[in-house]
Amino acid sequence: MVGMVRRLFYQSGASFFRTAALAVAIIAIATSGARAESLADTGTVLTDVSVDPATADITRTINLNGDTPVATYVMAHTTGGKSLQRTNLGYWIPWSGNVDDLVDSKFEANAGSLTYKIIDQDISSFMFPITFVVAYSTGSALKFGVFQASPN
Amino acid sequence: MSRVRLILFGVLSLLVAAVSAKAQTLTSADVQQVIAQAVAESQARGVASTIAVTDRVGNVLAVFQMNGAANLATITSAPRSVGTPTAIAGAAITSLEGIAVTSTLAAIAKAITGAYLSSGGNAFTTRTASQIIQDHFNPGETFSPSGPLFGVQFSQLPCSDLNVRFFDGGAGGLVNATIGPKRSPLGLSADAGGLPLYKNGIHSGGIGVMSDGVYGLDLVITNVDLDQDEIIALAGQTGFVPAEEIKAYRIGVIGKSLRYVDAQPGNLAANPANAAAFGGLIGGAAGNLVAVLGYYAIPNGGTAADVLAGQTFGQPASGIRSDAGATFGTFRNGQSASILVNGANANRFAPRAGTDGLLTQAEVTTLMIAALNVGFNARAQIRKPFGENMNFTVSIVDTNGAILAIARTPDGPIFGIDVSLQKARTAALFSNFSAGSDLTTAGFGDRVTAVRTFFGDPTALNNGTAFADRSGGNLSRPWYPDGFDGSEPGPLSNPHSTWSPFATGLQFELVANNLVQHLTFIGGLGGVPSGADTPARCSALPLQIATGSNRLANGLQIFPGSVPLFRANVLVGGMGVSGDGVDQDDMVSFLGTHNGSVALATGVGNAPKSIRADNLVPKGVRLRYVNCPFAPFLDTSAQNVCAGK
Repeated sequence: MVGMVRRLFYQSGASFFRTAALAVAIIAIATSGARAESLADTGTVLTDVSVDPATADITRTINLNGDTPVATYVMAHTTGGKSLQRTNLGYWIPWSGNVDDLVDSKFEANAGSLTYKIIDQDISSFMFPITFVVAYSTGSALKFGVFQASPN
Repeated sequence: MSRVRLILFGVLSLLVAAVSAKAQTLTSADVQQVIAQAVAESQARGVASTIAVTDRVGNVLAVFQMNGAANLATITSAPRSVGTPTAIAGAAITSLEGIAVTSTLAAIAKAITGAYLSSGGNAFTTRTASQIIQDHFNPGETFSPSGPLFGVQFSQLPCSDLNVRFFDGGAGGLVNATIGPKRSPLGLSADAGGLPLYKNGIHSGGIGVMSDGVYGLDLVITNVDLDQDEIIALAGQTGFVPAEEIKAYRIGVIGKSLRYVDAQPGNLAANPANAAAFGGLIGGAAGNLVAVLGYYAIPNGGTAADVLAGQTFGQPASGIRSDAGATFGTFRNGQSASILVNGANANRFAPRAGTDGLLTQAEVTTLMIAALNVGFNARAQIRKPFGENMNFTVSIVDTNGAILAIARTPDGPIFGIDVSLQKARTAALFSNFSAGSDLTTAGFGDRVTAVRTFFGDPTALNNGTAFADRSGGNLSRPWYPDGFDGSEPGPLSNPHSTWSPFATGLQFELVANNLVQHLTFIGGLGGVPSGADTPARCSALPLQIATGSNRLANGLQIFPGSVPLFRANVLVGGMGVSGDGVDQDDMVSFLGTHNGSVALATGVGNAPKSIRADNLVPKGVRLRYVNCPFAPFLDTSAQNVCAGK
């Protein structure tokens, strides 16, 4: 940041102001990444992760904010075009993208939070990034959040 | 004896294929030669360049930076002075004008542009791109419409969910290491100095040069520029030159010939044949191979071993191969469509049912076949020789923006893959009852208000009007109607005083944050790499649980070539086409949808005429829906093929 300010100081004219605006933009975008890890019916953007594809181990803990899930869901979309969902036995099966076709992954809430064990296997055969969707149903609402996994 | 013959035939076929592949594929030695030639020219001119080489699907094969090369290049429309567009809530910045980016990124974007805009039937450069993206075609011709590919520069974006990413350090183990099409750090470039590479007459890649510190465009095409970047790129291209017949200047659009390069071999200061061997240039002697985070790695310390060979286009490892008739059957002259494949050689986007339950797999397949059939039988506009069918990519999406199918003709320019999807999604988004609310939620309420004011209709973008991309494009020009200097702007554009190809209005605003995030991540603004990369999800439009993404995940497109898909009055998706002339693209999408509708007889087809955007006459000027070529087919004399449909 100090270096950036110093560079800005020595620039002149309109270029200075444009670069200053860009610096503000960078800060704004960076700070917007600080997100609460909870889900919403309009979807929330969760923090992306980096993984070793050969030994990918991803879990996600979500603050329920008082919700009581009646079903949980985990889905994945790969850059290679696959749409998948996780069964309660940990298998990944094709998913149509239709919420009516979702199967309960049966994760259980604990003390106001919900931990999804998303994947713990070699996923190096898939194209990255992979978009994961975690969701739960309360009976009256279907809340979800998304994040992407990229290789280390 | 017959079994022996069969075996021999099979072996011979493999040998022919292998030889053929070798004939068209850039080897490491080829890339080294290209770089060495460019370096020699730079040295003869007393300048220091940054040189990038890619293969046809955008894999960066090398980035070489000469000692003393400028680290940064400034994005600018100079000498034209462009004001700063009005700020908008959904975008941290509203213009790229004046932004300095690293020369490595600029060179990569130029190389990718040369590679992606070209094909076996047309050789286009970044100078060609400059000519076709500006406010007038030709640039500077007042009261002429905008360029035919207006807006294409914001495609192949680093946030695209379609274009593939390179992950440093993983090339040995990651299955998408060679798969294309790859993304571009700055989209497509209009700055001279990006040329295609042809090996043995076959399109195989691109070269990009940045040496003058300016990432701009050519505002005056009536003169001859001796652009330094272009001359150096021309030197690098020596030995990998396209056939004269397919160069841009041999191809016309609405009676105007396109520009290929202004520089000529006679302008070269050095003889490329005398270029010093690449091995003597690296390790600091003349410069170094440089890693570019997210695009190119040098795991061997920047030795010649880090100069990669390209992928053979059309082989599975390139990410694009023939469908061999398996999915879509065969077309005119027995041709098969091509498909995008993943590392396991499986179709990435085989036809599937809509995630919203509104299109069946069979309907998607039939629509794709109908569109491909139209295109395979249509006369190409931007290809040589005359008499070839058009080459293109066609995409279908559902109302969530989910990709339902993508296919292409074998030689479609690569840029059309991402663009066809942008077009399909754009048509589907703007035709959706939730268009206005989606854009407002994402912070673009001012644009929605502008549209409603423009139409004098407070329900605009929430009333289910069917927008083709041509319609939305009308609203995205700095003058409405297009090309009428001094008119007010379209509501999705910036006013002309603050418009430029680097500040197009809503199109740029939607992806501005993604671009800034990406450039910051890779150190592309001259600083230390920091933060996280942009997600593979352009824009901040509302998320859809069906896709884990939004309805515009690879960006907005604002030139013609798509239609929304309907079943009666219900929107069910969008079809986008890209790769040839825009009228041809319009025809494939519109007529393909119509023909598919007839074949299906399920009610799926084009929007009812009563709700199409060409019913609207804002400011006394009717919006357009589609425009089809007059006599478009190769084997029939049919005319006005889109009329009345």
